[in-house]
Amino acid sequence: MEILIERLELTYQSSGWKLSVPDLKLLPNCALSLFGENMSGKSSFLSFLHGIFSGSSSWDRFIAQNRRFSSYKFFREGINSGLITQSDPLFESFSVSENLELGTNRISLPKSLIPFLGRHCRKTGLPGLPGESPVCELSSGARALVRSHRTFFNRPDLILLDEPVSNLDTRRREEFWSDLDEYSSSDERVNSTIILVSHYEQDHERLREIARNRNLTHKSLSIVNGVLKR
Amino acid sequence: MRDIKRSIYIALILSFGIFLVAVLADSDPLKIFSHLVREGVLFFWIALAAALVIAQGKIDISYFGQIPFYGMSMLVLQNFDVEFVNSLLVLTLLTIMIALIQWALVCRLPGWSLIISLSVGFTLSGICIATSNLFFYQGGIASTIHPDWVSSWRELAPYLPMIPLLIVVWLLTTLDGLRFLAVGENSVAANYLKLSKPKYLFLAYIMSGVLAGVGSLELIINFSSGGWSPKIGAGQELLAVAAVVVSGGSLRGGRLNAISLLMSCLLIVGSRTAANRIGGDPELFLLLMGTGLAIVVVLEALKGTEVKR
Repeated sequence: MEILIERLELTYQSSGWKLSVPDLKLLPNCALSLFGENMSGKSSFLSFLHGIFSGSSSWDRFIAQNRRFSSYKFFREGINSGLITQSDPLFESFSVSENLELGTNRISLPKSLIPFLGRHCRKTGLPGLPGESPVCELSSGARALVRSHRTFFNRPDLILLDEPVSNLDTRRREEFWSDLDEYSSSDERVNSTIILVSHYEQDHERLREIARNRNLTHKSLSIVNGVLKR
Repeated sequence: MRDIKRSIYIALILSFGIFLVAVLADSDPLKIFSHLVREGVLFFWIALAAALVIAQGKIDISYFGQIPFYGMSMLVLQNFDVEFVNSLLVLTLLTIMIALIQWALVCRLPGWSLIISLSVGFTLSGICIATSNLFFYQGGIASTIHPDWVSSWRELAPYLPMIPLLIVVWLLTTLDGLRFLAVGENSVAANYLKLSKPKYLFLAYIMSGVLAGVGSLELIINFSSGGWSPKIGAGQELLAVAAVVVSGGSLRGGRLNAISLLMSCLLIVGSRTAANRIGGDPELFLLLMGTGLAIVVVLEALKGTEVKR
């Protein structure tokens, strides 16, 4: 996905927190590593790009997919993004397959006609995870699996990863990176841009590796003193 | 699975209740059953209207004012020599307007849905009582809907169950129906998926308004044969919330099981019929139902505290 932002400012007025983005250009087929200290605003920036930032925002120019946005509300609705964090909430009383279905970006179609779910049909669920299992009974590793697949099902143009593997064991981490690698190579991906926030160098190394394998351009960004820099 | 079990339990209690009432009141179980189904299905309109709003984590009990209001509107319209079909169009507009007002106020003042629905209910109820004192009981207009309109409605009545049926099918079989329930269960999780809470709340109020509107007319025109009083349908609002709770729906929003709801409607209507047949006090029935509901609400609140801990 192509995004061009000029003079973006994000603020939480109650706490006085502020993040400035002088200019930023995100290109399709690109993987970005975003670095920064705790409380620097990495997660807020990702939530802004996902369209769920709850503070106030202003910009000079904001273009995404050749469309100029003057309102954040329209951007939220107009962009096909997916955010995976270590703890984004799931629908507890719903089953695994229902949580996966809720991630799909298709409206009011009968469930049986959603072709993308054919591979992961209702009864099958995910590998090692029956579709009918209620989410409230799942371990944190299994929940992470549901979160990541829910996002991939939606075939997002912009994949935002906010410390997605921080609370996972080694095996689950490996599974997550393999899934991302598989997704990056699949036909379902259409010029996706991936942004990763993590405090661990090995996570960024895995992203670089995926970028190399799948011919994606890899770049690094960092937030220093409230300003996003290349 | 849990919901199916609940529906079976309710059905068993209901069957036993019918048998018991038949023995005690010395009447035909089939006759009691057919009466129960007729009244229960009618009550399902209001219960489903309540359930849709409750599924979004809000409470609407304005039906105690809405039911007589729609009947009164019919009486006023026939006095102006309006055609039956045109009167239905006017009532549809009224229904949508009331639903829109409630939705707009609830979106603006989140957490105030009960007070807003109470104020809407009292206002409509007040209009009915004042209007009836001014016009209907002073020899001007009879408080009975015109027989021609009653017969026209009866021609329409067999097709009306399509409305709740379509809503239930939408909820159970479409992705948008699943999203409707999901947004009600956890608005934070829904925000991550960019699902719009106001959109589904809007849908809930509109569908609830349509069900309450048509259900009210069905109650007044078909079931009461056009007879109207400003207190018609009083107490239905509390019973509707009770039906949702008995069916396993959470007052904090989320899951809604239509079959279980229908069974609990039959159970509640059955209990009321039983109280009447055996010669019990209707007020005592309401008191018991209200107390039971309060216990469920307290238990749910305690369950919520436990989860937070």
